[in-house]
Amino acid sequence: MPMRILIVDDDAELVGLLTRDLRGVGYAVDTVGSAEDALVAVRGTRYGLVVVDLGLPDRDGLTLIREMRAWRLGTPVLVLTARRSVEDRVIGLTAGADDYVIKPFALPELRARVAVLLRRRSLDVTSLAVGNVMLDHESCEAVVEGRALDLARKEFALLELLVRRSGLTTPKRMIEETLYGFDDEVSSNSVEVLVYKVRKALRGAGARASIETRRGIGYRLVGQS
Amino acid sequence: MTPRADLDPDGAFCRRMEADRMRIAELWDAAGEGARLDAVPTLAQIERLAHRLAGAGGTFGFATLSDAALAAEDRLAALRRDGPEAARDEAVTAVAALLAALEASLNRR
Repeated sequence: MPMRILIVDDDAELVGLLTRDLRGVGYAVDTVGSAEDALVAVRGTRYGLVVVDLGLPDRDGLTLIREMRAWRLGTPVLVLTARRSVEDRVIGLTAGADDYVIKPFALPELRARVAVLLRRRSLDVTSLAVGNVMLDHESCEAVVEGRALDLARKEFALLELLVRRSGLTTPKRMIEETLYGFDDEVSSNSVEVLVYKVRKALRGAGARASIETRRGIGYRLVGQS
Repeated sequence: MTPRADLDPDGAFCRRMEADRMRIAELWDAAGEGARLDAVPTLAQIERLAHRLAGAGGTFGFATLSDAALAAEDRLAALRRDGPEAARDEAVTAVAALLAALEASLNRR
């Protein structure tokens, strides 16, 4: 499950507030202010969730969602709208939205809905354990033999990505795209530093799983029996 | 929801409320406070500003502002649709309430 979220809304102050809040709980967040820019972004980046305001300047948010679905983009979509009628909500869900939040909203509610959509998607994908390393989504913790690893958010996100792709090589570029937003500062060795820290935590906990380096390509998590 | 400094740490939303308050007053004046029959595009601009305030105000902790903005949006839509004779009085009251809510919100910072 990519922890990266795209917010599509042209209300600069509201976008600023949402971005701060979601980054504060560990998500990578990108923002665009128009449907056209959103289409460019979703074509080029794997998002775990797209948050769409219906009142966009260049076209209706519902049209954007329909276009995304027409391309068979299965990314969950959370709609933000000041439109309150049941009819509007039904139209939105029919167009392909996965959930609705009516403006104004309380940030904890939005956070909860974001987490539900990401979790629902993650449950569809794959098992959350490799070797004796288990991921607990509720608490965002990686657990080895009942003991939680001391991981920062990005480190957990990296481990989660590798667990989901266990046995497969995950390209460094994919890791960067999944873990960091457009505005995040990513140095050339950011991923290496994260990998180093996660390896250290896994070794320290006696994990029966290790991260292999595929030189010039990426990383692979391998479980040991 | 009450306004909290941490929701608007750089004061951007407060500056927007100030700018919107001035812009709405200016547009409302230009529209003859809803009396001019040719003011539909101007009313639509105010309606758009009210719509955005209705959505953002409560999220930043200004619930009363959201309520006033929503009422103004509805009344302005009715004014555009039904004309001054049928809908002006309610629109005048709603826009005045919106401007008062903006003023009160700015004073609560």
